[in-house]
Amino acid sequence: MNYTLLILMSIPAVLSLGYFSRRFKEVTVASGVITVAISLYILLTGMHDSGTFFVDYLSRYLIVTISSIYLLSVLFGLGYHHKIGESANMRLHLSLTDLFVSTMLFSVTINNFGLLWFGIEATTVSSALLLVIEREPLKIEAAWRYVIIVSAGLTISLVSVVTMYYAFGTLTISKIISSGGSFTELTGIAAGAALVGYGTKVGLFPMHAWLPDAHSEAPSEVSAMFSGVLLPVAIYALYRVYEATADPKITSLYLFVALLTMVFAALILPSQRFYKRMFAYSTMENMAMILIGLLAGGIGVTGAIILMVSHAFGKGGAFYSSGNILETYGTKSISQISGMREKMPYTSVSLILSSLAVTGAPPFGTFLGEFLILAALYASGYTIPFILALVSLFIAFASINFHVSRMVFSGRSEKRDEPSVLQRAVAIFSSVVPLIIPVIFVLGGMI
Amino acid sequence: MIFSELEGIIGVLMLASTLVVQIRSYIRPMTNTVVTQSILLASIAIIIGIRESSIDLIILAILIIVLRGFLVRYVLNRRLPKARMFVREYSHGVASVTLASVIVLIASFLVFRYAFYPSVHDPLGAIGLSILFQGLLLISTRRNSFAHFIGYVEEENGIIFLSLSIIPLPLLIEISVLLDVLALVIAGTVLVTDNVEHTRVEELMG
Repeated sequence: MNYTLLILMSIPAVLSLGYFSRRFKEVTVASGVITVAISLYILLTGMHDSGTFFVDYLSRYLIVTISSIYLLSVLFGLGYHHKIGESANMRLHLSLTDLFVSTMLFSVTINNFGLLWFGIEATTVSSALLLVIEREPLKIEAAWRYVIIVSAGLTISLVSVVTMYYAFGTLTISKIISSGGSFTELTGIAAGAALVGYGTKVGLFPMHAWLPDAHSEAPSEVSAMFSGVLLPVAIYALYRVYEATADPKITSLYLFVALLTMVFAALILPSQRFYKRMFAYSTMENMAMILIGLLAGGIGVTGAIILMVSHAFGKGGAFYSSGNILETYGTKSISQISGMREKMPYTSVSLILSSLAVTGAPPFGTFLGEFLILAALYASGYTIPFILALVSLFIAFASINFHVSRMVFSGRSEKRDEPSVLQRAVAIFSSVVPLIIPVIFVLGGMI
Repeated sequence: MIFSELEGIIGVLMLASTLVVQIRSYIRPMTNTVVTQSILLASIAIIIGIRESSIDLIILAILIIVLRGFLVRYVLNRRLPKARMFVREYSHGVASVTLASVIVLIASFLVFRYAFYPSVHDPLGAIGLSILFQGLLLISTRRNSFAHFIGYVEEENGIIFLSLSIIPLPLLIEISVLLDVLALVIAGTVLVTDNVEHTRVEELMG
C-alpha cells in the first residue's frame, strides 16, 4: 500500500470534518495547501505505483492539477461567498468541496476499473450539492439535470466494467494495460459503453446536455473545478478503458465523436448570449482536443497533458473572472456588460488573459499543447480530422475573443467597482500560469 | 435445471415490472413496483448464490433488500408531498410511451443477440439490458423528479441483473454500486423542491 497516496486522498476527506469546527475556513485552506505540497512531492519524485493504486505520468499531472485548482477555488470561494458568511450553507459547501476533491484524487489513482467507476460516480454525488449553495430555482434545475443526466449516462459505463471483467478475468487496471489489452467483440462493447458513459461526464456530443447548464449556474469556483479538473478526470477514466481495448476501429469511433464535439462547440459558440455558458462550450471543445491528443499517441499525449494542465488554470481564470463580473454587474448576459476596462481593470486583464489561454493563443501552454496534438494528428495520417480540428479551433478562438473584447472594450464607465483583492489575485494568478507552463515543460525535459 | 427456470421466471417478472412502471401515472405505486423489482433481483442473487455456493451473492441479496427494498423506498416516500395522498404525473402520451417502450424492448433484445450473445452464450442477460434501457426511457420521457429517480434505480437493477447473468462482479464493486445509488438518491432528494415537474427554462437554452 502506498501511504503517500493514501494520505493525499485522505486529507481532504478527513478535513471535511472541519464542518464542525469554528475555524472551518482555515481548515479547508490548510487542506488545500497540504494537498498541493504532497502532489508536488509525487510529481517531482516521479512516483510510480501499480499495487492498490495506479500512478503513472498521466495520474501525476492530474493529481497536481486537481490539488492546485482545489486550493485556488477554495481561496476564491472564501471571497466570493462572503455574503453567506459563516452559515451552515458555507460550512457544508466547503466540506463537500473537500469530499469532491478526495473522490477525484481517488479516481485518478485507484488501480481497479470497478472502483474507478465508483470514484467517478462519487464525484457526481459529492459535487451535486455544490451547485446549490444559494437555493435559487434555476440553480436547482441545473443541479437536477447534472445529477440525472450524468448518473444515467454513467450507469452505461458500468456495462463496460462487467464486460471487461468477463473478457480479462480481472479489473486491475495495471494488469490489463501491461498485458497490452486485446480486442474482442466484448472489449469492443466495453469501449463503446465507456464512450457513452464516461463521455456523458466528459461532455462529449451528443451526451453533453448537462454541461452548459451546470457550468453556467454553479458558483464560479465550482465551475472552475468542473471545467478544469472534473472533466479531465472523466477523460482519464475513458482513456484507461481505451488503453485496455485499443483497436483501430475503436480509435476511429472515439476520434469521430471527439471531432463531432469540437465541430458542435465551434458552431454554437458564436451565438452564445451568456459568458459562463460560452466558457462551458469552450470546455467541451478543449476536452475533445485533449481526447484527440491521447488517441493520436506519441507526441500527441504530451500535447494532451500540456493542454489539460494549461486549460485547467486558464479556464479557472476565466471562471474566477466570470464570478467577479457577475458579482459586480449582477448579470451573465454578454450584451449587458460594457465599460469593463474602466470599471474592473484587474478583472479585465484576467478575463482577456484567460480567454486567450483557453482559446490556444501563443505563447500560452494551450497553444503548445494544441500544436503538438495537431502535429501528431497530421503525422498519423488523419488529414481530414486535422483540418476539421484546425477550423473548429479557429472559429472558437474568434468567437470567444470577440465576445470578451465586446465586454471589455465597449462602452464607458466612470466608477471603479472591483471585488475583493483575494478574488482578483486568484483570477490573475490562474490566468498567468498557462504562460509559465511551456517553460516548465521545456525545462523539465518533457518536450 | 430448476434454478435456471426459476431465474428465467423471475427475470420475466422483473421485465414485466419495468413495463408496468412505464405506463403508470401515480408516483407511489411506481415506487412500490420498483421496490418489488429490487426484491425480485435479490431473489435471483439468492438463487445464483445457492447454485454457485457463493456467500458473496447471498450477502449481495441481503444488501439489495435492505438498501433498495427499504432505504431507497423510505427516502423517496419521505420526500413525497404528504398533503396529497396520490401524487400524479399528468401525461398525455401513454400510447406513444407504450409504443416507444416496446420498440426499446425489441431493440435491446436485438443488441444483446448480436453484440453480447456470441461471446456470453446466455440469453438471460438480454433481460438485464432491456431493464437498463427501459430505465433510460423512463428518465427521458418523464418530467417528474420521482419518476427520474425510479428510472435510475431501474437502470441500476438492470445492470446488476446483467452482471449476475454474465459474470457476477466482485462483492466490493457490487456494494460500491449499491451504496452509490443510495447516496445519489439521498443527495438528489435534497434537490427535490415543491415543484417536482421539470420544464424548459429560457436561461438554460442555447
